Amino acid sequence: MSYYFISIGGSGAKVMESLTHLCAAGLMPNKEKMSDLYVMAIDPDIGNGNLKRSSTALHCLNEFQSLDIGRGTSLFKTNVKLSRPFIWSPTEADMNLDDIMSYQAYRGTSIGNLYEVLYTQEERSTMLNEGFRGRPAIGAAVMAKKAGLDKSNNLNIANEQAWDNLIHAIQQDVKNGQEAKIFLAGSVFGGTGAAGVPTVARLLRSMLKEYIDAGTARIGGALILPFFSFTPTEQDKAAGMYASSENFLTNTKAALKYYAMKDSGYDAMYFIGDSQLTAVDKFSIGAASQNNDAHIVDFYGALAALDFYSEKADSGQQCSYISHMADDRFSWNDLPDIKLEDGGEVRIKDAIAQFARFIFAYVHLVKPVLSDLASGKIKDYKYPWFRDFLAGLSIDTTEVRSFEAYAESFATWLDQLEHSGNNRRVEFINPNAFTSQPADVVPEHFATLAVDEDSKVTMNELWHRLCEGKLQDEEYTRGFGRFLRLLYDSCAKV
Amino acid sequence: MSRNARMGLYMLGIVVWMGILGLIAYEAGSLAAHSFIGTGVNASLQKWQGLYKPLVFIMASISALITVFWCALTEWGFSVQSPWGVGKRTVWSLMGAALAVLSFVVPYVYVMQKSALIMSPIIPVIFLLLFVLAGYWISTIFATSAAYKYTPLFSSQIRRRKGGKN
Repeated sequence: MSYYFISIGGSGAKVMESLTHLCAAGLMPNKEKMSDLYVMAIDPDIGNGNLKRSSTALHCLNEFQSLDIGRGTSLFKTNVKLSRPFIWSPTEADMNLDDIMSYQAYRGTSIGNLYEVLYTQEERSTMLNEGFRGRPAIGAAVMAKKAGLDKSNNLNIANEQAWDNLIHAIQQDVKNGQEAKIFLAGSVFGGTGAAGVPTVARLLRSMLKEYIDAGTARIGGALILPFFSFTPTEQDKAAGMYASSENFLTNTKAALKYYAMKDSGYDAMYFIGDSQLTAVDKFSIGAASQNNDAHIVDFYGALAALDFYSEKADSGQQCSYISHMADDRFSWNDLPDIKLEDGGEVRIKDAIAQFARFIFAYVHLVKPVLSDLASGKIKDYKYPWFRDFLAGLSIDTTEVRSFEAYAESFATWLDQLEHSGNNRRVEFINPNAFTSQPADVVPEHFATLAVDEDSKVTMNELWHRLCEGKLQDEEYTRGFGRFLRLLYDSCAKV
Repeated sequence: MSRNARMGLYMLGIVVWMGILGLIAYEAGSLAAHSFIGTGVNASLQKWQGLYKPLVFIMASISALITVFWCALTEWGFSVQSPWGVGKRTVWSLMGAALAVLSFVVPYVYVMQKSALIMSPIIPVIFLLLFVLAGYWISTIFATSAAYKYTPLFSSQIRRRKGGKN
């Protein structure tokens, strides 16, 4: 099985961030080290803060492929492959809608006149470097312009390296006898997502017709419904055209009507939204300042991807509904188990709790020691795990730095997830475990990091396990990867 | 085998090892006694050995107690909550030093109680070599909990060869 994920717009990027962390925690349905997750992002706003955050975590995960973690573990079991280029933008720099649609060539003609009726002067002249500003009509026109009909009258995108590489990778996987599962995520209420989610699915369906008809490629999608609102300041309004959350529900209604009436192009669709809109503190029209906190809706979007990846092709038509038990909170009990390819199941709580302990333990116990040992401030006899597993190795490597950056991003994501709902609690991780620095942990709460669970893995117990240095399966473990494997195994609950 | 059971076995091993060292200390002391108990009226090796045996037993017991106590501390006593304050080499050194001091103090205090026992400086030296170096030091190298396994001096050179990974 090979997995593909395409994020579309800012909401898609946030789903991608959640999927990255779930993937790192070993929740992908594949067997160990036998499948790839190929990831691509579509966004005209390539400097988007949400996309940058997701991209950083993904690039770190990509670096970990070179670590010799060994076999028999779910840690980093899915190889992450990044599309080249990673972000595909349907627009070019410093272009407005008039430029893209070649308005000057049609000016004065009936087509030009129709175009003038459909779009306001502001919509036509605003530079699209920061995305489609919550206007699906602009996005739809740009996407339609990019995707044209080829010689066989099929929808296609020609001469775009990101697309060529994606299609080539899918073709290779299918030729190698693997089923390709392609998952798209984006909002139906914003600009890029609303325009891209239907277009990209139809585009892929057209470009991969042969494989889709043969059942060797399937397309699924998470369609994110409104879950947040914001109030732009007068200064924001003066800065130009901006997305307006008052339009979200209207946009959503129109989009859902479209999906109900037309062939969506999807084999499976997941609609994920929230009846209580979370107020976004800091409004941004786009670029780096559009850096929204992780939200439970993104998390469910990533779970939808996992469900799609694990679903059997012959599972038939079905319509499922998922909700949460208590109105005022989300808990582990609300989450489904993940079905694995080999028929087994894994509890999300178990996987995330162990992974969270692993990350927090690294930040709390290991990272400061490595830094102080490198500067000669402390003696290494105090740290048997260092002498046994890390002494003589270079600690100043890309893998180690990437892991430290990843650990910070995971902890921040988890912390944001915990505080994502204005009116509801997300009770996954014990909030007392977080200090002011999200990646640092209060040692006394380490064993009970996951809510409703006493793992019995106290900091002291973990220390003993690390120093004992017992690995379940030492084969193919080496260097820093070997140590990470030990740390991860040591974080397993009793 | 569970960690607790393994430490229990280590502790049993320490007691047995100290017993063996006690026997060696008894024989070594008896051998050395030939040179200093003389040939006087009260000079009888058998009598000397009768008084020396309890002293060896006391020293072996103290040594076993201190060594077992150190191992118990490393397994159950010290609690690690952060990477700082681990290692505990100061505690290990102080306990070793205390045992070294006791190797000298106990025989002379014992002689004050049992004035018939003729004492020579060689006896405390035997105790030091056997109960501190071969007893406490060697035992703690092998029986200290893994969490502090490199705390005893030169432990890393010996234990690494046993089970080191890199």
